[in-house]
Amino acid sequence: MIPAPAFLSNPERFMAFSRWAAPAIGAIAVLLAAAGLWLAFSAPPDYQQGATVRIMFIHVPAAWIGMFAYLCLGVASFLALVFRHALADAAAAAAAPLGAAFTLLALVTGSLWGRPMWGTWWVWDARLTSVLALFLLYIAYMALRGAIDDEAKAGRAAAILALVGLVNLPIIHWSVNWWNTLHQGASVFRKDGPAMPPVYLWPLALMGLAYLAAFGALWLVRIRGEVWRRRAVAAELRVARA
Amino acid sequence: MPDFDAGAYGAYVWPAFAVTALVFAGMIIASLGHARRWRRRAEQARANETGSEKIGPDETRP
Repeated sequence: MIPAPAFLSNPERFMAFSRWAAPAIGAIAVLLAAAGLWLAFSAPPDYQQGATVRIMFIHVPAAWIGMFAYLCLGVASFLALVFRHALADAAAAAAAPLGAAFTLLALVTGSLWGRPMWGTWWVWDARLTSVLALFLLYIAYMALRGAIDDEAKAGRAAAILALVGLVNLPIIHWSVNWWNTLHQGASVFRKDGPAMPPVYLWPLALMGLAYLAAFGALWLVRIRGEVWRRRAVAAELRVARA
Repeated sequence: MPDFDAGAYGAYVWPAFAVTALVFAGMIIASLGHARRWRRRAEQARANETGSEKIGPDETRP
């Protein structure tokens, strides 16, 4: 049997940790975003993209975190499904709306970049379509959880959906290699190193870390909310039965 | 120094940043609101259950 993180099996320990960790990570996100935005607007316009290169500094991190949040959702769903950890189920439920928001940001900012650069707001390209599928998976996950009254059954059904949806992550990542796409290939996470100059790589890296920290802080806050919600429901049930 | 002149592309660059700011504001407000709302309700339910208004040390923020 694979041991689940002890952290996830103890809500009290999680609540004590997240009480200070959420604001601390949130403060780190603000500092990273301030530095990233400063460098983003200090970078020269790209020789091909012009000033639209600045959209990359908010679009690419949103796409990264949209995918990362789904990975977190999948891992939490696995732990909830296999080990029946209530906190893992709360973590899965808390990750979905944040992941959906980051994915929506990636789609909207990508569209705003695509119009002047590609001449179109949208194209049914493999990368764009698979990211749209990711957004729809988040929506389906939340809708499924909300549609079933029994929370335990809702959690299990949604966890299975989340695990099935994990197959979309490698499709998104390698879509630009597997199909001829309008979307450009990887320019940061490449075997031969990043294919962009440091003047663009630094603000992108800082903004990526800022988005990651923001997701981390908000995820902790939302998990805390889920824990409070379950405590409230349990206490109200006890009072009603007394 | 930062250069905020997006030229002819301003019609695309600034809406992208505005949408990002709005979505982040929405995520922060919704997440904190969700946590605060349920913390209060949990505290109220707990008070109803025990007949006490005492709040524990972890129940001071979301």
